[in-house]
Amino acid sequence: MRSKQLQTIVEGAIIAALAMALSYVPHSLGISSIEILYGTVPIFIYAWRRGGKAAISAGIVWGLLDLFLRGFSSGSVFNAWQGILEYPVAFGLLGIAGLWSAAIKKRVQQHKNIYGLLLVSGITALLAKYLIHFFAGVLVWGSFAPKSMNPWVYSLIINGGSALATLLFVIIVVGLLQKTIARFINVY
Amino acid sequence: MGKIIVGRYLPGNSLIHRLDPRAKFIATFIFVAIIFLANNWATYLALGLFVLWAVYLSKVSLTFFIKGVRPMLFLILFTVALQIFFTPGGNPFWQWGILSLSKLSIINGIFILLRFTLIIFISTLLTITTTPLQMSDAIEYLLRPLRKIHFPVDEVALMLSIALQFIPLLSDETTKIMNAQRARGVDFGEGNIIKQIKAIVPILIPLFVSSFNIAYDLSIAMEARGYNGSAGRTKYRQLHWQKPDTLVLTSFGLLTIILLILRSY
Repeated sequence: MRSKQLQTIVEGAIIAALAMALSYVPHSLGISSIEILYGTVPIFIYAWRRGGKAAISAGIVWGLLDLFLRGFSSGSVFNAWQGILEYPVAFGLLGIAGLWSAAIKKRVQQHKNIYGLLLVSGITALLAKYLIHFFAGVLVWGSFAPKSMNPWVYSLIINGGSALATLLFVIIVVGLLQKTIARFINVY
Repeated sequence: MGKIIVGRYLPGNSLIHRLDPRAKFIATFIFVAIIFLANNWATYLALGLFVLWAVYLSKVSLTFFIKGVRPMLFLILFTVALQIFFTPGGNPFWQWGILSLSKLSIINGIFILLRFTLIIFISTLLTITTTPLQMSDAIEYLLRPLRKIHFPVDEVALMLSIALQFIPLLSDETTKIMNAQRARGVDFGEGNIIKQIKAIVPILIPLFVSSFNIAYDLSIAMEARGYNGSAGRTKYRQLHWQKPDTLVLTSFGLLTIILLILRSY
């Protein structure tokens, strides 16, 4: 069974690399702090294909890549805890979409519709990720904003825009590609 | 998408370039922690001189560091403006509704500007003197204590180094497919959010197929060469902790003591 484990690890690495490569695809939503994370869909497909544990590792790897290649380079790490929370932890949480892997595969085998389960798992994972960004935002903003400003409101505004844009992306793409996704996740 | 620059490493042979990546990583995290000790002109001066000295030792032009501030400029100016106009107290000499200006608020604004700039300078120093692969090696070493809680450190390290090698290949693949779509009249990054999302869908499927094929071929190749698990593997790239690495961390310890002394003045 060694080869299946090795293939799972290597697939995770390549999917994390793809997620990172997709981060460079241009998009413009008017406000620079709002970003659609195109890499979420590859990570979700990997999560549904290989399960939660493997996907959390792939998410952590994507988070570390993002920290090295974009976080430090753009000066977005203002605090050690924020660096850990917003990169390996938040990205790793995307892998929890894989907790629904067995249920989704079962429905694929039974030729039943999987869109509902794909959405529930994807939305749960995204909410978990952006909840971490929200708390990390409070942590950072608390040390940079004037005392009269509410850090919770600021963090909600900044992270809420990206969360909604990425959520919309996942809903649309998963909806359009659900039949193809079923073929990708159906491995044993 | 153009030519993607993965990381911002600038080759060189300065003292900072030669440092062990673990030392640079730890030093960066120490810096972003101790910068919050600064609370007056003397502490910011000490931090500023320390960072400029590090920049000088890296033999990299200051322009690169100034350019590093550019992506965060909007956020920095927004935060500084908030500090200047919303800091309460300090005998305001101008007031309009909830907005006010005082000597205290202007000083706070300058301190926040310095804090942002110094953090960006130090993280730029890390990224331009350390290759992503060196950072990956450092992370693998620093994550080792997590083995005690059964965190798959070796797996994550292996995945990280494979991923770093394949980002350029997958970026090229993405560019090729995007160019093919552009030839059919697709505009990426144009139009409303729905239009932008729909434009990305046709590039995803070929990328998934290509990624799973690469992974399949790579895992077969690794297995054929006798790969049998990450634990206990020897390393092609060895990290060597040397005297200058200890000296760098000691200098950060000294800087912390200086800040603790100066902040009470």
